[in-house]
This record gives sequence, structure tokens and C-alpha cells, in this order.
Amino acid sequence: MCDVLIAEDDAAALHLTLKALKMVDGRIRTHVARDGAQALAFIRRQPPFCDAPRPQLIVLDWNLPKVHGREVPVAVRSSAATRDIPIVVVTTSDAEKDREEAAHLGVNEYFVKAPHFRDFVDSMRRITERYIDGDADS
Amino acid sequence: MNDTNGVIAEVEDRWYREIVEAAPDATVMIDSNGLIVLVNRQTETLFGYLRSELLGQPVEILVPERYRRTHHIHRDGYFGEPNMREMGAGLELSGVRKDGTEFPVEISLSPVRTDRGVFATAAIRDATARRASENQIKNVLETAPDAMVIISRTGNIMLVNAQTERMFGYTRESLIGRPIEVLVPERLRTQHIGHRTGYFVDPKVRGMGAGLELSGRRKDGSEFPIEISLSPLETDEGTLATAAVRDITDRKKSQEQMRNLLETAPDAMIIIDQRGMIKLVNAQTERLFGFDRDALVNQPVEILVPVRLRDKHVGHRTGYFHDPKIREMGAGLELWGLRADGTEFPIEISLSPLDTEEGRLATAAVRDITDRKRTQEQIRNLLETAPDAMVIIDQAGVITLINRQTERLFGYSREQLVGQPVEILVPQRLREKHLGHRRGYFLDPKVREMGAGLTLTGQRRDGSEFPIEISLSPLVTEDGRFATAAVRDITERMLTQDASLRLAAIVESSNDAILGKTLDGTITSWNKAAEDLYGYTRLEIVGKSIRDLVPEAKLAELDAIMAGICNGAVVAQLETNRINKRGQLLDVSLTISPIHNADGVVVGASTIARDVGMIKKAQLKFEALLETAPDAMVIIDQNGLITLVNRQTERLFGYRSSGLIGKPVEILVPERLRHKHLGHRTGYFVDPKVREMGAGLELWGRRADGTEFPIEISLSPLDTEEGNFATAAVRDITERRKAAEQFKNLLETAPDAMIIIERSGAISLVNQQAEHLFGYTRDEMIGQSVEMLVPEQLRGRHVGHRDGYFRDPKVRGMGAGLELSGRRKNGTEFPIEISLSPLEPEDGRFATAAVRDITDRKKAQEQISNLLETAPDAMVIINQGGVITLVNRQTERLFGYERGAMIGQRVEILVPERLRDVHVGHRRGYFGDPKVREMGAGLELWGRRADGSEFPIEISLSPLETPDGHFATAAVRDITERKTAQVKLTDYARNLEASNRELEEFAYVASHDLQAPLRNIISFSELLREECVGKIGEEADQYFEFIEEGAMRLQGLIKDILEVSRLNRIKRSFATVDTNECLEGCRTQLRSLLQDTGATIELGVLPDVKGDALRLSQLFQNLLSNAVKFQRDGVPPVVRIHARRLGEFWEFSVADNGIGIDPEQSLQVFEIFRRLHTAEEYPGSGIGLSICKKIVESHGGRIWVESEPGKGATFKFTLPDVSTTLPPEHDYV
Repeated sequence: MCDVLIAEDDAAALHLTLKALKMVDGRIRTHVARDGAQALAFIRRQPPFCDAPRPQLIVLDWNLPKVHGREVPVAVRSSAATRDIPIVVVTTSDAEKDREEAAHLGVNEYFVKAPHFRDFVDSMRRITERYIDGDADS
Repeated sequence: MNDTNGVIAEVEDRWYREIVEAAPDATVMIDSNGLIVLVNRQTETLFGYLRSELLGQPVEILVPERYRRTHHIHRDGYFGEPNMREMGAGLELSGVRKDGTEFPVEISLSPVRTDRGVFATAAIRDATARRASENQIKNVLETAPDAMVIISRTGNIMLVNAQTERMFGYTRESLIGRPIEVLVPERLRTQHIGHRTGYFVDPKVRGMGAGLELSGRRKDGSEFPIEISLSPLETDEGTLATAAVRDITDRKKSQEQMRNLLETAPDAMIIIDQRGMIKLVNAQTERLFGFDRDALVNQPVEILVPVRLRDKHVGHRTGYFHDPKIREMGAGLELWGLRADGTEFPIEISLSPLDTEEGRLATAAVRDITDRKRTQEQIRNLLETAPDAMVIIDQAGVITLINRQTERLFGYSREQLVGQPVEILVPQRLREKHLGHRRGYFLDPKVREMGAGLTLTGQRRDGSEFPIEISLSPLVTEDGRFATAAVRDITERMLTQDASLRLAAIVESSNDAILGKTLDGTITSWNKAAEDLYGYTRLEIVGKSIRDLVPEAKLAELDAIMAGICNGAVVAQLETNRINKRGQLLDVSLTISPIHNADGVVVGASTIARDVGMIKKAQLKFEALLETAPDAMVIIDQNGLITLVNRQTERLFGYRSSGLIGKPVEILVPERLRHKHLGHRTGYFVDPKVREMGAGLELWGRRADGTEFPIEISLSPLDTEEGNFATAAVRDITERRKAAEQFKNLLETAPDAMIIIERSGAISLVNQQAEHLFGYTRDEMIGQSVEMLVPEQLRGRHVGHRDGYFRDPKVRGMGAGLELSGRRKNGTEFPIEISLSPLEPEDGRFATAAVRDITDRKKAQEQISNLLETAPDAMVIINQGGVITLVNRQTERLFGYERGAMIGQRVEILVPERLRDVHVGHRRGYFGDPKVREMGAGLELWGRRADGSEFPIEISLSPLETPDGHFATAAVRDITERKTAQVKLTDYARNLEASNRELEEFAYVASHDLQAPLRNIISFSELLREECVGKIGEEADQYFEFIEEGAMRLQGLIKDILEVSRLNRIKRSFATVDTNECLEGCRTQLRSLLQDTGATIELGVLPDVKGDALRLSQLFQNLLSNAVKFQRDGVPPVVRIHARRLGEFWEFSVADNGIGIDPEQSLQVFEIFRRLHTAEEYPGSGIGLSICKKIVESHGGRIWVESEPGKGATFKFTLPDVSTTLPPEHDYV
């Protein structure tokens, strides 16, 4: 069984993401962080996520409130326990600079949310196939 | 009385009468009354009377009137006591002739006793002659320089002269009648009486008391040494003696001095008389020979000569007295002296004659030359053992000495060489030349290499020859001038420059100047040689100070010497300087020794001076001058013989100076010209002046090798004590001639007309081109005034220019800036340009003018002028130095200057002060690399008007090559308005940019923020549709579709807007872009689209281009997606992408097989938002192609489409190659 952390502040977007993941693989256990701070707490197993499992994938929206999304890869990569967790940034921003920054911070992939739901589901499938089944890519 | 008595009486009477008649004297017999009873013929003759006129007259008739009464008395007195006597002894008797003239007479009377009474016969003699001579003698006596004293046998003074009075201090009267001894010192009187009486016993002309010291005693009792000559004087009263007395105080003094000198001379001085008896020796003689002076005086001089040489010496001696001269004795012979102890030593003797009253003497100065001989021996040894062959020859070229090495080298024995002419060692063919060399050497002997540069050859006894090297040095010995040659066989070895031996030269002169002086330097004595050396006579110099002869620099030395002399020091052979009477500096060698008086106290010094270099020094100085002269200098004497040449002469003519000196100067002249030269030469000496020789004539010199060369000669006379000379400065004008030839050729063939004019303006030479240009023949021009080629109205001015030019001739253009015109033969005028250069700049005698017809140039210039004048921009032409040479009207207007105020000025006057330096730099830089370009691109250029105001300008430069040099044309434009406009524009642009940026920011942000909600709409609409499918109703489905489509369209628009704004936002950066990679990227991006449509992409070989990678990706992506999107129904899209080179660009083609485009709309498709189809047919915002266009154009390329409906479309566009330089563009695209 795998746990996937989703960091997303927009309810609509969250809904879509959850739905897509479910459609990809119903067995996936999804965890949600509504802002950057929550995401960090989850990763660090801090309250209110003291019992959080180690996620096998983090789906990260870049523009998060409270704490910006970029802090997540920073935190993830800086701890030995979490270093290998794959991070995929799924966002609306196609900005080059955001892409670059994310890449520098060690995210594994970065793509823009497709407006067509079908396309979105496909991309989710691709991600889970790549990062969850089998060994995680670095 | 008987008859016989009467007859005898008669006979006696006749006989007596005849005697009387024939008597040489006039005989007058008078009676006791004084009447003349008898006269003879002589009386008639003497007195001029006839006897008849005299007989019976009183004898007083024969006596001058004034004596008649006295005579009468005498007569009576005589008859009172008649006896035979002289009449009126001592009185002056005179007779008077008939004609009244008087004459002195001498009368002897004798009585005649007859029966008729006593008569007196007077024998009268005309005493005129005797009186006269008596008077003469009296005068002579009176004026004699010596004191003349005539004494009687008894020693009484009969007569003295004025000198006697003076000498002894007595008056005549107080002496006459006194015994002569009064003039003799008391102690000597007795002796004198003895001498005197002895003299009268045997009176002869002789010196008195020869050898004795004679003294005279003056009236005041003082004594002085005298010398007396006696001679007897017969008179009727008996024998008298005439003594000539001479005061020899001075002579004695000088004799003393001489004696001292002699005494103290460093050499042994021996004075001998004609018989060879030693009369006088000095201390040195005693010392040298070991004899006491007494043992020598009055001995034959041969006692000082070794026995075996005595006979010969006697011969020499007698021979000397035959022809006595100052000379060396027995030159060349070995002379030896014999000491008292019997030992011998080598000597050297100088002889000089000495005339004294005692006869001819000879003074011999004898010098012990043992040391010198020893040195000579040493030298001889050196010579003998020297590694080189040493050959010493005399002035005649005869070998006098050789060494072992010479024997060995040449294969002769010593005896076979000594006495032979040195040419025996020289190959036959070289002998004559060697002779010349040899002679020349003796004329100017110096230590030097012989025949340097020539190959010298020696010849052995067996006839074989070998190369040699010779070093010469002069050798002057007592025996004369010699030359020592060190000869080296250089067959095997390299020539070296070192002479093997130098012999020290001993310079001697045969006459030594001897002078004496007191301790304070007063000259006391001076001999002939000193006179010769210094030029002062004895009289002039004795008593003066020696300091007069000493140059200032040597005075201190003199004082030191004299100080040393006081202590008895002797200075031997001191080299120093003295000055002669003429003020010339002499080099002398002095030997100075002290003079002691009887008490041994130093009272003075004697100096023996030798002239050691007077002539040589002057010569050297003169030679130095000569040597450094750039021209060959040849000095000849009046006979045309070369006396001196300098190095230049040697070089020029190819002789060694030895080969020239002494030769007639004509050897330097070609044979055929010698005769004429002789004439010139003699003519010159007749009227010697500083002048050019043979002005105008062709002068030629002849070298040693026979070749000739043209020369130029300047002469100047040179007067010396040795005679008149002429100095010739000779210059080789071959080059000048050659240059002249070359010049002639250049001239003839020059493209310009060349005209050479003299100072007077007369044309002296023209070339072909000049004839051609002016239309005259050469002959018509030469000799004419150059103004004939100048238009009439300009002639006056031209003369002025010409004069001015000759005053200060330089190479320059003539009348720069002026309009020059030439005038042809046919009267037409044409514009010309003239360059002048002086010819023979030393005297500016000629000027060369190069004349060029500038008609064409002027025409061209005019055209340019016109163009320039009417140009809309200000045109300023400057030369390389930045000077404005031309401006046009517009320049005047623009800058506010008059043309004249600008031309000739530096262009910087048109530039604001603060920018001038920089401008100069730019200017120089421009001329360094002149190209057509903008000046100072990008810089702010400013011009400055005459009133000081400034305005912005723009300058275009272009180089201008003219025959006059490099120029630059600047077109200046006032860009004030443009600048203002530009400023406005810039502001506008900036604002625009700013607002655009804002807009873009906004677009970006807005688009970005629009994405998310848009996605929601789309995604949830989809989800909803799935949930509600079939549940709401059919129309609901359609509604969902509309929603989604709308949202899609919106999304498309937003994406495009984002794209555009992204493109605009990101600064373009051109780099090398691999289009293949680009397309691969596109393929990836469009993967789904491609998959969905089943499209195939075919790529050709695609090049690298210069561009912005991002934008190019965009470009390809758009084109690709279009190519795929607009597919024909049922036809899977096939896209072919190729590229081909088109100059600096690549032409890409993206060809599809889609629906195609109507050609009429092929341009419109690129308009923004332009859609050819509805959104239902083909989705798309319509921005795509316009973006493509923007991208392509921003790369400097072009984009277009070729298509037909139904046949697919090929979009073509150009992109620059990597190497292409794109013009700069504004950033906002």
C-alpha cells in the first residue's frame, strides 16, 4: 500500500486531484496538506501529523500559502529519512523560473495541470506508475 | 883770375843753374833785401808767374798778404843767422799764386854766400797733399775707438786723441809732454819703462807684452785692464811709437764668464790652437781624463788620444783648421779618449772654431759616451737576437746593419749585405717602387708600417720570393738619419700588427745652445747657437731675465730648478718648453748646472739647450689640420714639388704619402694635361690668390693605378719662412658628375616639364616635356629669361618671387595658394603648378622648377567645387594635418564664418573647446584608417559656431585622395531638430516601453491567474457531464459542450496571450541554435497531438542558425502544430521540413499535405487574430502565425507561404546563419 501526500490549497483543484488518483488506483491512500506549513509538518511528523506515514509520493502545488511550496523539497531533501521521497510538482504556473527553481531544489518532475480532466488523469497515472510501483526513481 | 878758374866757375855756375832749374821743388833765391834774384821753372809752375814777373820783386809777393809782415820779420831774422833749416817749423805756411789762390807750403832754406853777399835759397814744396793726409791721419787718430797715444823715444807723450782723454780721464793738454808712465799703475811703471826702451831698440808692429796682464791707470787712480798695440812712426824728429790702447774690461769680464762656463760645462772643454796645443781646459776635462790642468795646458792635444790613433788625429786636426766649422769630429768613426792612467773610453767630440787675437783656436767639447756605447751595445745585442730580421739602412738606402735573423731569412751572409743597397732584398720588379718608398720615408720618417695594404715581397739570395711585413722606425744618430726595418716572413703566419722591436730614437742636434745666467735669472752670456735657437742676439738678451724665454706654464719649473741649482744640483736633459724671440713655443732639452765662484758659492747657472722638436711640433700641428680635412690637401712648393699631403690625398689618388712627397705635383695629373697644368701652376705663383683653379675647365686627377677621375680644385697661397707654397684642396667630383648625368636623364624623361634657371632668371636647361608643354623648342628657351613662359600681367610679380626664392632657396611649392599660369608660344595661357628646388644649395646658383599643367585637375577641381558648393550639407575638406582646405556655402551658413576665416585654420575651430582634444585624436585615427563612415558613432557630436554657440551635429567622413595628398571630406549636418525629435522619440519610446512592460506584466499575471479557474471550469464540467450523462436531458449535453468549448477557447486565448507576453518579456539572446534539436523538442511537446493525428514528420538536414532558442522553438512548434492541425479529411498529415542556404540566411520550408491556403490570403494569415476558419472547423486562436512572423522578423528574416487550396501549404521562412551579423534593432519586438 502506498501513501501519497497531496499539498494543494485550492479546493477545486484538490477535488480533481483526489478524484484522478482514485481513478488511477483505488488502493492509494491519499493524505492532504492545505498549505505549505501542513505539508512540512506531515513530512516531519509533527503535530497535527505525528502519526503520519512516510509518503511514497508527494504531489505538490507550487504556489502554496503560509509556507511556499518550494520549502517542501528543501525539507524533504535535507533529511536522510525523507531524502528519497519523489516529489512531483503539479501546478498551474508554467513559468520558466518556477520550473528551474523546482528542478534545482530537487523535485523529480514538474508539470502543468491539464485543463481536460482525462489528460489530467493520464498524467497522474504516469506519475504513479513511475514513482510508486517498483523502486522509486531518484 | 885765370881763365880756367873762370871756365870752371862758368861750368859750375851752369851746372848749378841746371840743377836748380830741374829741381822738383820751386827754388827761389832772394837777396838780403828780400828781392827775388833767381827762380826756377818749378817756381813758375807752382806760383803761376813768369820768371820775368818775379825777378826783382820782393819775395812777399809769393806770400799771402796777411802773412807778409811776419814773413818779412822771419826773413830778416833768417839773414841774421842764416843756416840750413826748415822754415817756421810747426807753423802753417802758405803760398799765394798769381791768381790769388793759396796753398800750403813747406820751405827749406839754405844760405848762399857769394862775393856779392849772402843770399837765401828757399826750396818750396807744395804741401797740399801732405797736409791733407796729415789732416786725415789726424782725424783718424782723433776719432779712433781706441785711445791713441804717440810717444817719443824718451817716452814723452807727443799726441793723444779724444778717446785717450775719455779713457784715462785727462785732458789732452795735461798729457802732452808727460811721460807715458803716468797712464800706467805705479807698481808696473818700472816694468813698463823697460818694455818701452826695449821696444825702441827694435820697433815693430806688435802687441805689447803679449800674454801679460796689462793695466791702465785713470786720472782718478782707478785701474782697468788694457791691451796695447804698438807701431813705430818715423818722423824727422826720430822714431816715435804709436800705441793703440784698448779697454778690455768687458772682454775680460766675458772672458771670465766664458771661463766659468767652460769651467763648469758638463762636457770636457778643450781649447787648442792651430798647432794642436792645448790652451785651455776646464774642470770636467781634468776629471774625465784624469789629468791636472797644468799637465795639459801647452801640451799637444794628442796626449788625450790613444797612441794608435794619434797620427790620424793630427791629420784630422790640421784638416779642421783648414776648413773650420762647427761640426762633429770624425763623424762615423770610433773616437777614443786616453786617460792619464792609460785606460781608454769612447768619446764624442763637437768642434767649433774660436777666433782670437792670438790666432785661430778650436774648442772641442768632449763627451764620455761609455754609457751610450753600452746602450748601443745592448741595442746591438737586442738587434742581433731579435726574432725578426732587422735591417738598418742609411738615408742613401745602404744597409749599415743587420742581424742574424736577416742572414737566415734572406740567405745572405752579413758581409754580403752590409754596404749594399737595400733593394738587393727586394724583387727586381718592385725595386723602383721601393726606392720611392724609401726616399719618401726619409722625407717624413715616422714609426709606421711600410706600404700598408700592399703585398710586400722579399727576395732571397737564391732568387725565391716570399711575402713579408715591414715595420719602420726612424733612427737618428750622430752619424745621421737611418731607418730601421723589422722584416717578418709572413708566409706561414697571419699578419700581425705588432712591430717586433722599436728602437728608441736618440735625437741629437749637433749645435748646442749655451747660455749663462745669475741666480735671479739675469742672462749673462749667450752663444751663437743660442742666438740661432732663440732668435735673440747677444746684445738684445744679455742683461735680460731668462724668464722672458720661459712660457708661463714652465715658470714654476724654472724656479724649482734654480732652487735646486743653489744646492749644487745638476739637471740633465730636462724636456721642457721655451719661447723664442718670435714668441713661438720651443721644445727644448736642457742640461743645467751650477756656476760656482772662487769660493765655491753658487752664483749662477749654465744651461745647454737643445731644440728637440720645434719644427716637428709645428709640422705635426699642421699635419693634424691637414689630416682631418675632408678634401685631399696637397701642398706644393714654388717648384711644384709636393711637400705635404694628407690621408685623403692618399686615399683619393691611391698613393702612400711617401710616394708623393718630393714629387712634382704633375704626377697626379693625366699625362696629356701635364703641360697645361705646369703653366697654370707657374701662373699661380706669379699671382697667388685664394681661388678655384681652372674654373670652368674640365679638371682631371690621375690615380696611382693610372685611372682618371674628374676633380675640382681650390687653391690658396701659403707663405712660410721656408718660402711660398700653395695649398690645393682637391675634391673628387665623380659622384657629382654621375649624379649630374643621372639628373640629366631624369630630367629629360620626367613627366613634368623641368626648367632650370639661374639666379638671373635665365633659362639654362629644359627637358622634352617643357618643349612640349610650352610649345617652344629648346633653343628658343635656353638663355632667355624665364618670364617668357609667364603671362604678361604676372611677369613683374614673378621676378619678385624668383628673387625671393634665390635669397632663401628651399625645396618647396611655388606661390602656394596663388593661381599660377603659364603662357604658351601661341599666346594661350593655362593653369600650372610649380615645385622648386635649389640646385647646388651651397651657393643657390640655380633653381629647378618642375612645371605641371593642371588644366585637367583644375577642371576636376571645379566640378568638385561646384558639387561642394551646392551640397545641402556643410562640406568641409581637411588635410592630413587637420587644416581646412575647402568649405562650401552651407558651411559658412551653418557655422557663421566667412570662408576665408576658415580656410587654413585647424578644423577644431568648429568644435567646442572641451571636445577639441578628443577630436584631434579622432581625426588622427581617421587618417590612420580612412574609410567611409560615420564619425564617432554613438558619441555626441557638437559643432561650435563663430558666435560661440553650440549645436548637435552629425558627420559623415570619406577619404579623398588627391595628388596633393590625403584629405578627408566631412559632410556636417545640423541635427538640432532631429535631436529634439530624437529626444522626443526616445522619451516616447521609453514611455512606450514602460507601458508595454506594464501591459505585459499585467497580461502575464492575468493570464496566469486565469488559468486555474479556467481549468476548474473545464475539468468539473467534464466530470459533471460524466455524472449527468443521460440524466438531465439532451440539451444538457449540448450545454456542457458549449461550456467546455467556451472554456477551451478561453484557455487557448490565454495560452496565446501568455505565449506572446512570454516572448516579449524574455530578452532575446542570440546564440547558435541547432534546429534539429529544436525540432526534437517540438516533437516531444506535441507528442500527443502528433499521436492523435497520426502525423508523420520528415526532417531534412537542418543547419545551425543564429537565434534565440526559445523563440525558435516556439516558431517551429507553431508551424508544426498548424501543419498538423489543418489536415485534410482522412489524410494523415505528413510534414516535411527542409532547409537550404540563401546567402547569409537559411531558407526553411515546412510543407504539409493539409487543406492549403488560398493564395490571395497568403499575406493575411500572418495578421494577428486573423482566422481563416471557424473555431469549429479548426481550433486555434489565430495568434500563432503572427507570432511566427514576429519571431522570424526579429531574426532578420522573412516568412511567407506558398499554397493552393487542397494542395497543402508550404510555409517558408529565413533565419540567419551563425556567421551573419544582424543589424542592431530595438529591443521591443
